[in-house]
Amino acid sequence: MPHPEHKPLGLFWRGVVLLGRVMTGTAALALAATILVICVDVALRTAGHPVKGAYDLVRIFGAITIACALPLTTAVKGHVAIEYFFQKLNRTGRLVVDSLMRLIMIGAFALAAWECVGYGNRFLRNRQVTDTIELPIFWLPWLMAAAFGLSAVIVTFHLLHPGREMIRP
Amino acid sequence: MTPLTIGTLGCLALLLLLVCSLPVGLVMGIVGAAGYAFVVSGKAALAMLSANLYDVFSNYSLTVIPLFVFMGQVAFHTGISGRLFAAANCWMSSLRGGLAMATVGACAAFGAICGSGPATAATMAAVALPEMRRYRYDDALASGTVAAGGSLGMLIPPSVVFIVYGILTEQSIGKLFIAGIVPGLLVSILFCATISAICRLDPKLAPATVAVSWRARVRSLAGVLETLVLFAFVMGGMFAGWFTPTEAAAIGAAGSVAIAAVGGHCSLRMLWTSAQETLRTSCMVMTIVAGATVFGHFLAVTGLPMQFAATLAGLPVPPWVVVALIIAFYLAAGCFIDSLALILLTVPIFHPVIQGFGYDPIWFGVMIVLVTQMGVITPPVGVNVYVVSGIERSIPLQTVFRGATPFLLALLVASALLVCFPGIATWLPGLMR
Repeated sequence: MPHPEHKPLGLFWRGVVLLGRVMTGTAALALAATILVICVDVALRTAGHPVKGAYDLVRIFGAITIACALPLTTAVKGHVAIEYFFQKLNRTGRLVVDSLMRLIMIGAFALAAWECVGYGNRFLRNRQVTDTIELPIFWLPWLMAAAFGLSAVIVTFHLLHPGREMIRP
Repeated sequence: MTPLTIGTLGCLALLLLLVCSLPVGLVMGIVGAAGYAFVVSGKAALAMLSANLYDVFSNYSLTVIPLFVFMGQVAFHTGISGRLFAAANCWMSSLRGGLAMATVGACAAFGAICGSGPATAATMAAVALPEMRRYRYDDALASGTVAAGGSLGMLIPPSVVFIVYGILTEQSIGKLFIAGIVPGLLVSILFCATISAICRLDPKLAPATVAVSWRARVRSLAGVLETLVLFAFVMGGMFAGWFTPTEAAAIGAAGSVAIAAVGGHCSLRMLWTSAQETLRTSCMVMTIVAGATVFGHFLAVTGLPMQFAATLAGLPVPPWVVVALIIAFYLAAGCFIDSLALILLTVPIFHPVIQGFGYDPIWFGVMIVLVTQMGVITPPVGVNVYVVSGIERSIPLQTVFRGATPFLLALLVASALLVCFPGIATWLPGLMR
């Protein structure tokens, strides 16, 4: 019988991992697009023809990069925390504090997701667009909401499966 | 309850949640939003939260972070770090402790294309540490050199800490980058002087290595050329006013990929690995920035920073004593809190004080980066020491801490020089267009 840490993930969690990987891929593409837009803009600017809306595009790609990187960062426990004092606790103390902190994290991510949905809805109602090329941006807060929501689910995995890795860092 | 009391209680709650190991960015966001709700209203707090998250995630200036991190990651994965070390070794191997000095030189050079201290330490731990151990260098000296040398990545531009400080205090990121060059070189020289002094006191710590011919030395410079070109183009472009820091970062990232392609090191796997590392690091930094922004808004409505600044300004002591106290605070707190988090937490409080006294914010930025640099090699939370010990598991943590201790003296000397001669940091930015 496989060790619990090496047991294959269930269908739901495999779906979560897949979604996380899709978001990571999207973030990587957005990063590449940022580099491309800026380089083309700088090159064309020297010829007197800057890319119209480069600033808008960089802001959009930047937001996609960071939002879509959130599930990966959460899955590999990549957020900075001060663990020095926590490590001084005994095993039970660590388990209690860790569970409590993960519950707070789930609540915080879920609240951020909910608020981002509302923020996107307000953008949609007000027909909010970018400054130069007037692209609609209501979907950006929605994308952020999806990232926060998925991160809440990932922290739930860590809470339910202590010591088990969802994605190897 | 007065807003000031709520502000103080908020800071205490922040400390409590921090020691419970909740991620720093989340702690600042949660306490900031909750405190704002207490002082203003729940509805306003939630509106502020979503608006701040969106503003930080889509901030044009902050895009510079993933771009510079990507540049460093590509440089690491294509072996630039190894070539830098080989070149530095050729030039310094004839000196006693030459391999350790070469490590410092390679750290400084790698810091010029990588914006993170721990990343520089990790890179050099993989490249330089095995080489020093092969030549029977003392473990404490070898590992301490890598940990301390890695901290140069925080000071030598591009530096993530400078970017965040610049955005927080509305200072020019370009000027901050340029301001870090001379202090970075100064610290590198002081580190080499420290190694030389240690080796003179106890020659057994660093056995002599084989001297390299002048021909081999000149040939080794080819390994430095790519870094030099990249750094000169990115920093030179900013210095000359050709492009903004964000544009410089994108060009640097594209340049590092181009160099990798020319050298035959570019592959989809390398790009994917570099991108993943970049996304993880950038998201970690941006989460802290977002949290700090929310917390900053909370502090602003409580009036705590202004009150604190007024109290400090009203103390019956000369301004330099207050500045010395602030530096001492960073020195102490840096031992426990991650440098970036510490700067994000405290700059909104101390920046008005420094401005009130008429000190140059660029100088102050360099100063606190230099001081928090000490935090990454001091116990108990010396990040670089953990990184080095984590990569070379056969060297105990306490050995690395012991080895890094002499370099603290060098950093203290550099801090004292920067206080006595602020021009070390402000001269180069003063020449910028």
